[in-house]
Amino acid sequence: MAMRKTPYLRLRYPWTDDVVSAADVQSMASDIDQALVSTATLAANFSKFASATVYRNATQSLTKGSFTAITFDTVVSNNGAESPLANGSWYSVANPTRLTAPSACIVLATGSGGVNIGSALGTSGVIQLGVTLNGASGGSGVQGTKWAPLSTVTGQQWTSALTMWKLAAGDYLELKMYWTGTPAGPFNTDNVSPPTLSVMMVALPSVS
Amino acid sequence: MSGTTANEGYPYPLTSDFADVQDAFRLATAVDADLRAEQAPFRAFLGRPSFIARQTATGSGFTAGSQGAVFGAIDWDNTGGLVVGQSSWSQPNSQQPSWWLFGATIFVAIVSGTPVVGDMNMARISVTSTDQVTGVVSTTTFFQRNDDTNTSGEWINVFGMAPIYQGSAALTLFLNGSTQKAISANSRLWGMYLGPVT
Repeated sequence: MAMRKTPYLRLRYPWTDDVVSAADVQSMASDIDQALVSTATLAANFSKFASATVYRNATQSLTKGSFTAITFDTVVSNNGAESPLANGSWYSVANPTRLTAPSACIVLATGSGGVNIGSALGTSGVIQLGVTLNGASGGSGVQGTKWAPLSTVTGQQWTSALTMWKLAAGDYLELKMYWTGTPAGPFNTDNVSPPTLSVMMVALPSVS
Repeated sequence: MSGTTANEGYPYPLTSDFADVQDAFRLATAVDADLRAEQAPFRAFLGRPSFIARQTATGSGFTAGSQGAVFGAIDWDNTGGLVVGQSSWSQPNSQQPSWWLFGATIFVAIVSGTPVVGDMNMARISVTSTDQVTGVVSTTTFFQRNDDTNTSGEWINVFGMAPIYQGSAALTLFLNGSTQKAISANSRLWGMYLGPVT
């Protein structure tokens, strides 16, 4: 029995025979069945784009002049394992500074956090926050913000950044914070509005 | 072949007819086209148009005025709107009027001299869009200003959301001070499609 296939979903249909056999209909029905399953899978994946949000509830000490990775102690959402597009978790207690891509993806990542400045930073004061790739502290593996609070101000100083990355499976993002200035420090992260890192898959590098 | 199903209109032979290959062909191709159409929105979302452009060489120093980012690397682009060596992303002409989210990080490089606290550093994303009726091009801008500290090399994170049609997006650094600075290598402009303008 010679069979041809439709252009998109490759459904088999009989071609050269004059009369359609039961086997022809069976093949075509089977292919339609599979095509409907793949459509349902697409719909399910569509509704489960993976995302994760973690934050640092307890204060974390930040040493002056050190671009420090925040160690997360609270997981708000970690739904990669439930996403057929990811099939794995973003956060693991084994690597509490990281959100690791379970699969290749394009992500939007936000980082925010504050430093609780015990004494004024002076005119040399700086606060810096970065979303970093695979442990980087500079170069192409960093996106973020760096600025100077007023030289005489004390208390909580917050900052945030919105970033976008192309990640391979196993790549990880971290939230890093930095301060420098006249005081010796160290200063703590703020825990009223704690350091938070969020990622959301927004696209796939390849779509079949 | 005169029967059709009630909802989707799939063709089938009547009981008085012999089923032949043409019947099967018509039914298979009708189902095929329908399912492809139903999958289209899902595929479009998973393949959301988006891009990440990166400057790979630090620009020439200047003290006052502006400098546009020039992209030496394409970290990601499924729009076809980026060209290495160009200074802007272009929206595909075929795309309908759409909402896009754009973002950037500019690393400010000190080219010569000593940074002066308070010297102005400002990043701008500018988005142009064409009016569908009049053809008039308008520009929407988003700014973030992080003035100099004395530690050298500020980082400026800026973002914004805009409707765009047959338009473009570009990233610019503005300075006003006494130190020679420039857009550093690894500064980035990125964007992602959010949805159609209704």
